[in-house]
Order: sequence, then structure tokens, then C-alpha cells
Amino acid sequence: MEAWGSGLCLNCDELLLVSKRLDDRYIESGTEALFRAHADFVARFVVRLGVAANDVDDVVQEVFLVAHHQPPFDSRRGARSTTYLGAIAMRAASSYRRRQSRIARRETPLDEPRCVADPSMDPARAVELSDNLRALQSALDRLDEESRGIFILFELEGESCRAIAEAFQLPIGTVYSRLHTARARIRKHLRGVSKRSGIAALARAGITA
Amino acid sequence: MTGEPIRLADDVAESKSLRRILDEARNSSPLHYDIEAGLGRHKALVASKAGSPSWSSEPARITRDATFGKLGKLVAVGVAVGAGGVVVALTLVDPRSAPDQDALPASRSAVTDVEPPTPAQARGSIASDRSDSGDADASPAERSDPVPVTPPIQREHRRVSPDGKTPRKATANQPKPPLAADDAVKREIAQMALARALLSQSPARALSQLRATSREFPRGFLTEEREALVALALWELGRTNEAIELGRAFLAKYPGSSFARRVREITKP
Repeated sequence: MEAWGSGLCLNCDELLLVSKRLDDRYIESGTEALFRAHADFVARFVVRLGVAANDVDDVVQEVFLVAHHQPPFDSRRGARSTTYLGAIAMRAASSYRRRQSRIARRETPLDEPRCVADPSMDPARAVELSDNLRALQSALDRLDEESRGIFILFELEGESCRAIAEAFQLPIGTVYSRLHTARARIRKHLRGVSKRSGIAALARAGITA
Repeated sequence: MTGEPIRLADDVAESKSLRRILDEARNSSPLHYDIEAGLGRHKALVASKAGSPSWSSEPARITRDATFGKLGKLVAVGVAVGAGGVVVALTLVDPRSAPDQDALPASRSAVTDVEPPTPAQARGSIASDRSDSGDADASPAERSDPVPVTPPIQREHRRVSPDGKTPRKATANQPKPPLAADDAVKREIAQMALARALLSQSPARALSQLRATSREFPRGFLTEEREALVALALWELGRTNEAIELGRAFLAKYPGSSFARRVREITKP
């Protein structure tokens, strides 16, 4: 088989050989372990940053391509692999949003429930959980990019402020400040939602805002 | 604030409803991500050497500003030269990629020069369905696996050939160098390998991958296999009528294909 008159002829065995070489080159890069360990985290993070479900894989791929092309991750300065990937994911999500705004479409509406329900869960509880997560996502969607990322990493992913500061290359005081602002806005928004909707399920459970 | 703050979900001073919502969010995932499928795609992208992302990471804002600076200079040159700007735009196109750019407007070709080695290639199938959105954020400086490209300043000197004619046709008729074809072959192989792997796990994604490959390599040398796999993927998705129609067309086109047996199975009444 000859390709484009370039003199490149490949039979099946050669094709397999090329594939194997490509695979070897990839394995040497050592990104596989990083991908296996943290792809789920990155996917979760970018969804919370507002990436539509249909585009999550694209953004995840971008994040790991950047990680692949960068020098090996160095944890000596205090950042963790998750915050390191989180910082890359922030920029990927930002780039994604700019592209989305250019083509002026959004495939997943904001009010779409963003929760993978456990099939064994009580339906009423599943609805309540979905409502709560939607309210939180709505609050997150109103934050600026950096505060949102910091809030998600600290409050939902359990990262430390120091690791976030290292990964985002911010002074730790700035991280505290952004977190404080984000918290205030989230509180205010959720309080407003709670007042407007009454959050029936929470009320039934005797929990007050 | 001097020490690590207490997380809201763990802070008893916060309202119960807020703590509960955050706790639920911590313990639930907004989606299920198929790591194996994602890893397969990642491997294919990396292996294809098209793995340069559409933007870089270090440090993103500075490089982007630098990109716009370069772009701005190009635009300024184009405006200053006036009508000659079109010539500049045409000659800025790398001769190696000229055959591929023929169908594009001249202005688009100039932008392509400051982008990574074509966004569709760089992102493989990632942005295949959004290729029209453009990725002007990227710059050659951000490429971690650079293709040897003539610097723009040198190319400006070639704006007009000695006989006063633009070199447009000369560059357009140049055949692809073997290296570019080799890279394209590897990329196509990698993309087809991914589609093949996805076929049994996720026919929908396999179909999407095949369509992306089809757009990138409309006359690729794995076209035969691609067409067979499209028919099989449609069959797996339950789109039997389309699958049968495509299958029959495939058998008519490639009666002696090594994929004919598999395709024939789905076209059986």
C-alpha cells in the first residue's frame, strides 16, 4: 500500500510495528499513570467549572496533553498532582468557554441536573440531591473563574490552600481572599435559593437554612 | 487569615443546609468518566504527534499576550501595505502546507501560520466537530513539538519573486514532502486504532471518531477500513437501515475487501 506517492509503503506487519512503536513512545512518557489516577478528578473539576457534559472528554484530553508536553511534575514546591492538573484544567476550561462564546452555543443547559444518580437511591432522595447539586452548581456558575476553581478545589476536592497557591502561582493570602469572597457569594446565593424555593425536601427533613 | 481555614462542610458554625449541600457535592460525582476510553484516546493523540494542545500552559497569560503581539504585528504589516497585504498573507503560508490551504481564503491562510500545526491535526479528533470555531489562541511558541517552519521575517522577503509574480502557484503545486505524509499516515493509523478499540465499547464514540478521521483524511489510505467500521458502528448503535445501506455500498465498492465478510453479515436479510 503506497500513501500519496510518497514512497511510504506499509504492509500489515509494518502497520502493527508502527503502532507498537507509537505505543512504546507513549508509555515512555509516563503520562498513563497520571491519567489513570486523576482523569476522573479532572473530568469532575471541569464539569463544575462549567464545561458541558458533551465536551468534557475533549477538555480532559487537552489537560493531559498539556501535562504530557510539560516537564515532569515536581511536587517539591508544595503543589500536588491534583492541584497541578487543576491549574491546567482551569486554563483549558477558560479556553473552552472562549471558544463556546465565539460559536455562541451551549450544548448542556445550566439547569440540567449534574449528578450521576445511584440507581439504588430512593427516587425522592435522588430528586432532592439533584436539586441541591443544581443549586450549588448555579451558585458556582456565578463566580469568577479563579474564585470558582479555588472554591471547588478547597471545599469539594479537599485540597489545601498552600497546594492551590503553588499550583496557581498565587500568594497564599490571595487564595484565602478569593476563597473568602467565593464563600460569601455561595452562602448568599444558596440562602436566596433556599428562601425562594423553600427547598421542600430540606424543610420536610426539619433542616433550616 | 493565617492558618488553613476549616472547610464549610466541616464547620459547625455554618448552616446545616449549606453543610449538607457541600457534603453531598463532595460525595457525588457530576458525571461518570470512562477512564479506559479516555486513556485510549489520549494515547492515540500523543502517538499521532498531533498532541500539541491548542494552547499552552506556561505561563498561559504571558504566552497568549505574546501571541497577540505577533499577530498584531502581522495585521499591522498587512494594513500598512494595503492591497499588498493580501500578497503578504498568501506568501506567509508555509510552502509545505500550501496544498492543504488552497481551498481556504487568503486571510485564513495567514492566520493558520500563527496557529499550531493546524488545529484539526493538533487536537486530533478533539475539535473535529468544532473546527470552524478556530483556535487563534495558540501560537508557534507554544508548540512543544515544533515542526521546522521558516521564520516569518524570511518569508516576507519572498513576498515577490524576481520576475515580479507572486509565488502562489509555485508553492501550491509542490508535492507534499515525505515527512509530512509520514506524520499524516501515523496520525491516521493512530486514529483508526482508536476507532477500532472503541467500536466494541462505545460505538457512538467510535462513529464520532471515524467521522473525525474522515474529515481530516478524506482520501486517507485507510478509507476502506474506515467505511467498513462506520457501517459496523451504525449497526451496533441499532441504526440498522443506515448500516445496511452503507454496508451494501461498501460491498459494491470493495467486493474483495478483507472487511467484506463482516460487512456482509450485517447486510444479510
